[in-house]
Amino acid sequence: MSSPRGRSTPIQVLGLLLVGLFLAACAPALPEPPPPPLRTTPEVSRPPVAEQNCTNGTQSYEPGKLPAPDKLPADSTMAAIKKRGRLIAGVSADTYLLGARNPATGTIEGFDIDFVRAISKAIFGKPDQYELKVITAADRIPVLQDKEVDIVVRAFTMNCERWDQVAFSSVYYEAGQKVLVRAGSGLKTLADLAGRTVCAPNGTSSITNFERQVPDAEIVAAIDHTGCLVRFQKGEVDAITGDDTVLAGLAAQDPYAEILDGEPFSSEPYGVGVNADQVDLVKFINAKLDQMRDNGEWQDSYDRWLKPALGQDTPPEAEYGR
Amino acid sequence: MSQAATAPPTPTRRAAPAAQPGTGSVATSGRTGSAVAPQQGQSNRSTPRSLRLWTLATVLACAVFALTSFATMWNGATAGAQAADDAAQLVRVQSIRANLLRADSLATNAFLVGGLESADQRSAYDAALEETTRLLADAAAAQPQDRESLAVLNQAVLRYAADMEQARANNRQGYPVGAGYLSEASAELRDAALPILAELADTNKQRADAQLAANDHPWFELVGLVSAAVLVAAMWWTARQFRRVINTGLLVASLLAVITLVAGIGVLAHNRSVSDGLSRGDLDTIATVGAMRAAANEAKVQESLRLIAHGSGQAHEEAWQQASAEVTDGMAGSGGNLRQLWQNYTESHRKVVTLDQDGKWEEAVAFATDSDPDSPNTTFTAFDDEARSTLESAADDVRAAADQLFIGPVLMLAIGVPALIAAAICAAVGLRARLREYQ
Repeated sequence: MSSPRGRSTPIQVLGLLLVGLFLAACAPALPEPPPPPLRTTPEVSRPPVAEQNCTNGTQSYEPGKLPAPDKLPADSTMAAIKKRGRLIAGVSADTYLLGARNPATGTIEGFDIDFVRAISKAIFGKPDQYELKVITAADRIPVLQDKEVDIVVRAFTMNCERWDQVAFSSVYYEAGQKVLVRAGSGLKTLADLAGRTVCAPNGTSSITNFERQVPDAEIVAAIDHTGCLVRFQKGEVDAITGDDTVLAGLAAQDPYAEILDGEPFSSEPYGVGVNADQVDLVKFINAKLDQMRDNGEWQDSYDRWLKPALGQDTPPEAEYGR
Repeated sequence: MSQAATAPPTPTRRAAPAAQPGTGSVATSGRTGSAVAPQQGQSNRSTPRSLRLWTLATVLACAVFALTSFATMWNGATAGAQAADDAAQLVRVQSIRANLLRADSLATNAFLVGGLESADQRSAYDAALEETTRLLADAAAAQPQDRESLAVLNQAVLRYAADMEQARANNRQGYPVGAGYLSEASAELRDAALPILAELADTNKQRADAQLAANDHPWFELVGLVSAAVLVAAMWWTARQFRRVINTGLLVASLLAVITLVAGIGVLAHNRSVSDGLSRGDLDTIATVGAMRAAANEAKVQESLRLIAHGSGQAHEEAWQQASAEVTDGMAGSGGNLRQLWQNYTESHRKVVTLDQDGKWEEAVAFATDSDPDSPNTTFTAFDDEARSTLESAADDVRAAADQLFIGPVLMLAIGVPALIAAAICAAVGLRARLREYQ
């Protein structure tokens, strides 16, 4: 018989191989942990440049009569609204001073909302007979065209292109586009913003207006101006551009923010949006706006909401002629 | 051990045959049993060589079977514990997901209430986040493979909590930018944290399933049968060659191998049955109820976001419907009490929707934020508590079942494997006794 040692060595080797083989074969194949996901930044969406193919973008219909709530014409849009029991208005809930939810009361309030209350009072005799629908800037025209709301009072700039889609009241505020920067940042003029990051709500004309002024700035998009303020406070952007009314609301929420001095680089006349077919309602609202200009109601509202941030102002003159 | 059961024939000394090519060293052996006298010449000279080959074959068969038993039972013993660990990790991951969404649900609901949020809601939010933090630490310690993902998740949770605090701070000062931070926190949760948790849940479920399926292959049975066959063949060959029916060593070796094989088959059959039950039962419950609880909390968040959207919440209502469908799908074929509790919450939610659609937003908010027995907050909490209880119960069952999976393989490692080593020795000794008859 051969030496046991001589035989055992290959058996041991074989045994070790088998142990390894079986342990490997029997051990379950376990899945790998997942790779961490990546966060993405929204792509900047620019609206088509509006062709001003008319000169009466701020002209509305001649004001009609302003009958008492119990004497509204039977077939009128106002009577239909009254029959429903509430005025439905599309508004913003996060544009401080214009239309924003008051966290203490849970209600939406501001300069724009005062016009909703005034129109409600004209139709119902009571200022609180309304339902607010919070909409985005991009929703303003579709909700009017689909008659989801009766009016839109949401920093809605009147222009010729929009007149082709909806109707507007007379101008109730003349805003202009400006820039908000960090106090002490050294940014003093628009030219200083070249190469800097500037935030604006996605899909708004604020982006194209600003790019015309400062082509070398880097635009960062957010869902709305409040989203821009979040990015601004986190240090992700150097500035925010938008209407001076909106920026005043943002500056009021952040003591370390200031609006650049100087004239606005665009004109943004705000009107109350109405469905294009409801001219009677437009004329009714224009009559109410005229009354507000004359009886000091407009001034009271402006002084309450916008005067502390934007200074003294008077009601814009109404233009009619449609 | 080498003594045959019947009286061995007296070996007869013969003249040593000349070595023949092909017979090897056995040709020098001059002894053989008289019982094999008919085996003469070439075949007679090859008998010692055949004995050595049978010795090698039987020892190898026992050794391979012992190794296979060791590997199979070792994996069986560790797989049960590993599966329990993976199931526990799955419960942690699902709890983190549900806790985060619960915290988000409480925070968004609190945003609806004018003025300061209630102390109870604030306390519940803090508790949900503290529980999340604790579970993250536990999960990282328990499963090193998940640490990288958990580290990224931890950063997302920190950013979420920071944004939520900013939302609260601004909200308290009456600034609408608080809602912006709320949206930012919500996006952080859904874009960064929840996808990691969904992946981790899938990964740990697959790990647990893989561990439970560790012994689904038939190696033990196949190798055991082949080993027993080799031992029986060796017995048959020796009985025929030496005209003695029983070789004690081989008989004992065969008995040990067969007993080990039968015992091992029993242990594996039991463990496979328990594993299958776990995969299709409690482990599946953990995965489905965990996902269901997360979807339910997501629905509750969407309910609050619908009201925050103030009349424009259709997109959130669609998200609510989608999350609710996930909850309902998760209850298919089970979830008796959970089904009723979800139905109760769904009815509360419908009332919120009806009020909102009728233009009674303030009433809808009041109903959605109060704590009446039929309010969404109360009915939802009842569902969430029941779902959490179901999850914990399933996790306990998995742990108990994992203990069952451990016992059988450990006994086999302690008794079966040494028995097979003994079988190899017995076989070698039994055949060596025959070989000695040639020396």
